[in-house]
Amino acid sequence: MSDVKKKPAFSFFQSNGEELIVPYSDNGLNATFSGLFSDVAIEWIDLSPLLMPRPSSTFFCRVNGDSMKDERLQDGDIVIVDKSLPLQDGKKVIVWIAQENGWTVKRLSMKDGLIWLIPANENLKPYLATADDIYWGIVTWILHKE
Amino acid sequence: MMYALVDINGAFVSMEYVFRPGDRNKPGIVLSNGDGCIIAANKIAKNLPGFQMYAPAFQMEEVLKQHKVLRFSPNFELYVDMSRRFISELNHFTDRVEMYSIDEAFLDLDIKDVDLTAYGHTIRKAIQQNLDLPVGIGIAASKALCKVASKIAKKFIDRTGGVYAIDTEEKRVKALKWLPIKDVWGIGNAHANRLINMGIKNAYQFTELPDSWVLKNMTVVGMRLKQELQGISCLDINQTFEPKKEIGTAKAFGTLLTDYELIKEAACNYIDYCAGKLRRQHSVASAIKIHLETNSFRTQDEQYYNGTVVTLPVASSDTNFLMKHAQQGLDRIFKQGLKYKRVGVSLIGLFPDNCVQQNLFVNLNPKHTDVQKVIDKLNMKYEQGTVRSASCGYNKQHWESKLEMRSPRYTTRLNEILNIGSDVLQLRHQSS
Repeated sequence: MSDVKKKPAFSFFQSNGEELIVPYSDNGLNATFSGLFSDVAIEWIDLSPLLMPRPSSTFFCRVNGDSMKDERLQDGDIVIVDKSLPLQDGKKVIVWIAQENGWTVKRLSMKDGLIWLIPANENLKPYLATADDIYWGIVTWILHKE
Repeated sequence: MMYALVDINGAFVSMEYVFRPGDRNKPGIVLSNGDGCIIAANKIAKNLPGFQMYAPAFQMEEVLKQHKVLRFSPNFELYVDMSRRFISELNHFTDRVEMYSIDEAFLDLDIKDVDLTAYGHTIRKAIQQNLDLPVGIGIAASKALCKVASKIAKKFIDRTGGVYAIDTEEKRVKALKWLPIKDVWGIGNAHANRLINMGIKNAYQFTELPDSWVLKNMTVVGMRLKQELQGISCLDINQTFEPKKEIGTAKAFGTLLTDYELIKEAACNYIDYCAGKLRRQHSVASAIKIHLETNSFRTQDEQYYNGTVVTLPVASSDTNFLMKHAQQGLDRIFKQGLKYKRVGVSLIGLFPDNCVQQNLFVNLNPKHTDVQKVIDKLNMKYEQGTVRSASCGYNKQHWESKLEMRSPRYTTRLNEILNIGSDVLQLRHQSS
């Protein structure tokens, strides 16, 4: 059957003296098995466009610790960060804390020109950001493995 | 038509610092694998007294120590990915982007009624915000003038803010009078010395030379350069004057290939070609980029595009050595049963090949060349670098112990992504 070339759409050929009927295809496609289904896109769901609409400025980070546990961000979760997004009140942000020489993720709160980093853990207090702290990016997704 | 040259300041070090923002204002260098030559540095490091690019780090031990210079092993996988992101960011502004090297790109600014300097600042701000990479931008009517503009943008950053456009005749003349002849893009040492002897000290004087002289003494290439500096664009996107900081080739196969051996053969041929070019410009490469792709127009075929970076254990220009490592890269990305249209290879992290031998054989007797021939033979027989890395081996321990590990491949390996210790503030809060 694979010898059947394009068009005619309906064709016969000799094989061991028997007559074979080749499946009909309206647009003259090669009537092989794959040809029959060629107009059916076999796809899977690709999450990338949803998780990173802007790949060139998107980064992945892993979060350690439970300072944000009451806001759905657990120890070991992966967060997606889009650096192209500007600082935004109420969002979780990745910040480099100059004095501690390390990273943190907290909720941003802007009040009276001051920038607070708010934890989500009853044991911790908000931190008042200094001019030396470096805002790195905004968290757009939390990937949590159940 | 106007062009822009966008280049990343201190590219490799700046790329490292994206993930260590606390170090942004510190001097940093990247050392080659194997022999520890300085292959990249940021401006702060370059400005240190006694600092010499491409020299072995151990020669500058005191300077590096005194100024607490951060040292990195090369992380080409990170650099290539950040470079790809850099080009994508530029593609948000125009699709006419030519990647000139891993850290430089020319843009075709086919826009009207726009303040080009302001537009340049918009691009610069976007790259800074979205990638944390500092760039300089030179805008002008030709590529050669873009190079000049970019030099001005960086040199006088306090006044230019990193962006400079040569958009009037007055600015063009002023810029060319400022630029020493030896710093003109594409004018080699020999030509520069000759011109200086003739009293031609700056780029402007060069453009005033008669066409006939330039044509006769500097061929059509020199003539093109002269015209470019006069603001007449002779080089389209994808044409340049100087050897690139990256040597690559990627040609489509005559027919679609599925056989691994044939694809490997093609890749090895390209490596051979690139290695030849590399040796002619007296450089060595630190890493190889390789990619493989199917024909995206054949929608009936399964589609595939993948690339990888192989970092060499020691920088080299040896064909066999490069082939061996290119093959490792190919093995990583080759998928059985697909119809491939193209394989591409590219040699990156290039630097002059004489930095180690130079200090080893300097002041040696005229037999020097014989010694090198023996080394070349040995290298041919075994591996490039066999002899070289041993040659500086006795000094190795001086710097090796202080060499920081290669940084994580933050953007290409899931198990190496940036770690956010969300508890960095915890102690502080509890104790306060």
